[in-house]
Amino acid sequence: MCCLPDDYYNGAQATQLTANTPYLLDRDSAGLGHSVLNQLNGQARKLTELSFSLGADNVMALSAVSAKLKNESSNIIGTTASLYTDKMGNFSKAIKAYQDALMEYRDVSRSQGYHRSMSTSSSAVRQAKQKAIAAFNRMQERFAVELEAVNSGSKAKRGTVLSSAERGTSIARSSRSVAKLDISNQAKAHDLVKFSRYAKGLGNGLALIDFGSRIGKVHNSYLAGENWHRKLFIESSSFAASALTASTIMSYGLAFFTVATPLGWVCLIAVAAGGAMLMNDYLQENSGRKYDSLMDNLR
Amino acid sequence: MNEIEDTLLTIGLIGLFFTMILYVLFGQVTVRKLRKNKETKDSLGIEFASGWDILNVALALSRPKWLEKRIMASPTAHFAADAKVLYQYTNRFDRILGRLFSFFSLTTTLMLLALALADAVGLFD
Repeated sequence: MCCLPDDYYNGAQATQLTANTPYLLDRDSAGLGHSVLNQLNGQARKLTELSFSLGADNVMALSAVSAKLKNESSNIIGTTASLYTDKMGNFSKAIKAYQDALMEYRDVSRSQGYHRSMSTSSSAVRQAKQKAIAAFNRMQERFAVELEAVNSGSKAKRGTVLSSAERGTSIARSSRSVAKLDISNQAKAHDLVKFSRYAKGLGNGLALIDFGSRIGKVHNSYLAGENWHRKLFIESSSFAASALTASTIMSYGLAFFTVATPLGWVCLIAVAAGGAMLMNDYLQENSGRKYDSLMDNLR
Repeated sequence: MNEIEDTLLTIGLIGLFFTMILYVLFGQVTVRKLRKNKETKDSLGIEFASGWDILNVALALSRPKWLEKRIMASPTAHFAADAKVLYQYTNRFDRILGRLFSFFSLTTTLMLLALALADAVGLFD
């Protein structure tokens, strides 16, 4: 590149622009510009990729929304974490079901004195094998992506217990020890499944933080000798309303929005969070008056 | 403060009160029984936060048949509770309670949300 204006700057006067690097367009824009540049220098590649996939304006909007979310309505952030983790919880269950079916097949086939030659098989053994294959197929249908991630590192030519029902059943039937069948452990060790246990705690925890901070406010007002009944009324009604709004929007949004695209999720969560925050603010302002008029009418 | 808005807010808060009571009631009477039952334990829908399955069950018990078919055919089918299984293991009282709760919760939420939006937009000034 040539003929750049004098002011393109990143650590030094730039004569060429390189990809994935932030530049200041005006060197004279003082300390703020420089500190921003320093912060961005580490993240430039991520930001570029994000901008390409979501569009530059959306990246700006998203960062504003997530900053606001962190400050205000913490109970909605937990839902994104919980959403994926619930699917992973079901994945572990499906793996366990497959493992149980394989172990059953193993017991049945061994108790019948079944040898390596496959010449005879009673109907019980046949049924157990069908059950194991069905469990594998169910798992394969619902969790194809996750299974591929778990199996992608394996180099076994004949397949592993988790990649093929044939391999699983033949290992169940003829292997001398059951170590290879303990797929629950192999999969559990995999990062994907680990994530679900960690993140589920995160999901519920954030709702508790929101609730806890409201209780804290009421307690503080009690300690300060103010009208804490009123504060309790305000806090509880705004919590209930914002939780209801968020849950209703999420439930119905899922039923009717296409959530296959990542942007669809962002919209849904932003709308639910926005609704919850709106309700929270509105009731915080107005339920105080309602409490006062209620108390006046009761006296 | 506007008269109409005041009345609507009062109605909304009363509705909120009843919704919360019905939520706990439904959770204790029906969903607790469903959670303990082995056959229905896994058909209560996805749980974003603790207690979400109560909402899922109530919605599943109050959906008309055409909506049920639509949802089961969509890609997010396994987020909702499984109505077929639920109908087998609940009695009429459970279903009425669930329908009451979902009616109250939906109307109250929509009403309060509309009120808050109208206030934000400045409709009442």
